[in-house]
Amino acid sequence: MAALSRGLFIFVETNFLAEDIESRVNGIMIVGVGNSGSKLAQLVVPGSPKIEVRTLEYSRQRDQRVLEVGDVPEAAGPMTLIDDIVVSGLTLARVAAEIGEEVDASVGLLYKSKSATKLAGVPITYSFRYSRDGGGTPPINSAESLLENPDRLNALSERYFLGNEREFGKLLEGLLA
Amino acid sequence: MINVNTTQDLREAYSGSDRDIRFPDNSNLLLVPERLGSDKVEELQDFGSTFQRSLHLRRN
Repeated sequence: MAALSRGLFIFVETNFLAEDIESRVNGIMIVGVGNSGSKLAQLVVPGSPKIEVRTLEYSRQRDQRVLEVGDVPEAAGPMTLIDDIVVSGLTLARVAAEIGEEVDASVGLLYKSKSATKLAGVPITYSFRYSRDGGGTPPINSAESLLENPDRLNALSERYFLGNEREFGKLLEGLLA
Repeated sequence: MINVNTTQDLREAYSGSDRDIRFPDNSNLLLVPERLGSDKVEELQDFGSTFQRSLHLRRN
């Protein structure tokens, strides 16, 4: 019965987020962070550069994940990082550390957490700042990231959809088809 | 603070000025990659609720 109380899906369409981000970053050089952040950045400004972020060691505790950050594109001026979801702030912190220049971030959904904004260490504007009834962090993922990261998909499926992992995977594939 | 229980709630929040939103404690949030037609969104939401009922039956 516990799983029933976790069954509500809310779909967040990235074009809504892209339109909102575009209104905030017009004219500034933007760089997508990771695959899903890059896809969002492409919706804002086609051809935007990307910074690769790879999870070397997965953990449900997002701020405990071990990340590898790829090459940073050259920028003539201030840079705005684009990401779809910021929960712990770890990814932004790691990327900003690699850049080492003037940088801020514009994101779709930002978890309402003082520790997240503190860890990120860069100014963040957002489309939505979210929290959850009763506290804690609602599981939030992009369909694309889940399909690209089997560890994440497995962890989420086993926690919330045990016995229905294949149906959940098919749902995600259907979204991206 | 806007309570968001459905994707439609989220759309309404998007059109407003209050960007602080709160999800119910039973929510799984999924970002989908492109603007979907309302029919597709309804289909996905139906799938979610169907999935929920399916899970409910199996657990029982």
